[in-house]
Amino acid sequence: MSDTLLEVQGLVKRFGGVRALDGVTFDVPRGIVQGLVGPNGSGKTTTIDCITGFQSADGGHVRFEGRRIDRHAAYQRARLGIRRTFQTLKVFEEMTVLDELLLAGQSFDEARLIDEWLRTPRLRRVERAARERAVASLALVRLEDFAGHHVHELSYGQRKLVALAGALMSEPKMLCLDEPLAGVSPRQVDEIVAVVKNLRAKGITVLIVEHNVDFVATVSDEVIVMAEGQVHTHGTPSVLRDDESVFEVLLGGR
Amino acid sequence: MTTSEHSLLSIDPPVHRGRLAKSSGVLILLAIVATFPLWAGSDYYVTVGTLVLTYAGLSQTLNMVYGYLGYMSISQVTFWGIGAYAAVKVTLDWHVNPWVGILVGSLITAIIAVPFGLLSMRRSRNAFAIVSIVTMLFAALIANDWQSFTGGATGIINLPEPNIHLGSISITVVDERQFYYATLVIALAVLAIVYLLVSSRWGRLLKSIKADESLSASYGTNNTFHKVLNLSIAAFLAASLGAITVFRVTVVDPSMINFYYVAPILGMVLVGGGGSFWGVTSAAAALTIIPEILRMTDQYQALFYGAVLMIVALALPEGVAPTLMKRRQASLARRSLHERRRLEPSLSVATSPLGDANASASVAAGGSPAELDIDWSLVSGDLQEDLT
Repeated sequence: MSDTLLEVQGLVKRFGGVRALDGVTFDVPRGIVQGLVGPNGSGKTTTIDCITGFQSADGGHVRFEGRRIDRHAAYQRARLGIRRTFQTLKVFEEMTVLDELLLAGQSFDEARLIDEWLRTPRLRRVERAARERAVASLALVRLEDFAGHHVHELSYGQRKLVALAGALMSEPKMLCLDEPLAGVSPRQVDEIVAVVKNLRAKGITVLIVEHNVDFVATVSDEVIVMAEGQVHTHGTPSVLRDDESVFEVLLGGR
Repeated sequence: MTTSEHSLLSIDPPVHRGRLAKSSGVLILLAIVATFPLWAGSDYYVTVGTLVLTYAGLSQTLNMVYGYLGYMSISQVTFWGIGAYAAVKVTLDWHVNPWVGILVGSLITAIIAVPFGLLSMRRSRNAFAIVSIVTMLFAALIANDWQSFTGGATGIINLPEPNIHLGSISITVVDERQFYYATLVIALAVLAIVYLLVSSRWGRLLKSIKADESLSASYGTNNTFHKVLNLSIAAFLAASLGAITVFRVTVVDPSMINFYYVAPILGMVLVGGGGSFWGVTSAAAALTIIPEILRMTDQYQALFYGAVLMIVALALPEGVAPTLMKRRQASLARRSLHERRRLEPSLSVATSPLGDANASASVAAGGSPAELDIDWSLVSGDLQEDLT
């Protein structure tokens, strides 16, 4: 299928004697919002880690735009267009929001080291463009008024949005969000829904791991339900409401 | 370029009041170090001056690797020693001018640092610290025991003078004053290079690797590449300082690769504050000069040194400069908040540098520049802390 962006095939990951992933297989078509739900310990975050390169799988493979990436380092996958956010918030707290975003895009622009060291005109040009991109990314998450603030001055939810805006600095093809709602106030949920819809409208494929089933049902085009390191069900968001067995899995039953 | 454009488009701190003070301070400092041997009085003071320059440079190379990147590097002293030996070997075996030897020896050291970094920097920072200690002991062993190559425990003596012959110009480098200037040239080059690198956009990248390597990887940063590159440059710079030092004392022996040098430079980085260029430079000067003064008191010298390190570790764990910087920032932030309350209507334009871009238009159209001025100091303080 030509419009498949990501292919995950037979992914296996062991931690000691535990098989965290036990043959996970699914495809993600280009341009959709793919939800990934399941109870704690079902392997959702491990799946994202193996896709983005933060853990190496013990078996199976991952294809992105038709090419195998499972031996690539995390930074190489980021450069291919797979960006991510982390379950436990990761941002550079001491920087300003603007610097954070500039840093997030730094590895993707055309300035070479020598430009950076000697502050060449090329660097000035690149930085100017980067600042414009940073403003656009901030606008996408509605934080344009906070560019000059230190990241640690922002609320937890706002910092999550900064992390997301950072991931957008390189115009990714695919964005993996690991529990975007964790620690976010209920008021901000609607905001994140709007942001995800915004991303979809921009043609970015989004893979979301999230416990909040209502949220996943609202934003996703397709849903994967995981249980015990395997794909339990793969279908439209309606399976979350209608499928009895999915219901049981999510409630922790067997 | 207007002030507002500058702050918006460049990563350098924007022009502000502090900058003029800073650059004039640097100029005065340069004038002092450049003329020091002329008014220093005795050769002894000149030698202390040479030591200050040497330690300022060497501690700054440790600052690059430890302060900015977070990798505790005992190996800076190893590199300084390897550089010294390599420069001497190249000079004597190739029959070239010592300055060529220093350059080539430093390059050799930079190359040696690459496989060392590739092997030791991929794993944890603790692993790197341990490997760097072991490497130092190993290098010292080679220096001591490989008689035919290194001269063994007595080392290589009667090193040639690093005189300079350029066409008709001849500069002899023989006495203490001349060596002060030779060291000055290298130390200033080292300081300038370190400053240029760490205050660049690349310096911001190093700090991000220090803060969180998985986050920087998710930002597309090839951590290993930048870590090893940083280590290799720091090795080159440390080597050049080690090399000029052995030509000054006319002998290279295994004492160059010794923990004796680790304590002072580590003290300078910790006291000055890792990741702070001027803090470490000042600490290098202070911690070289004060022990020399205390030398008269003989047995109290080590006691004093230990006391300083302990006080800093307990009272100012981040180092002197970062603590002062934070205090200054806090007071600026308080003042700015105060001013903002007073100028409530302008709050919306004065909150961010991006807001300021829009605000600059309103200033041109008759707005008051005072409100912007307040904001500059805040913004520039932020950038500066990130960059220096």
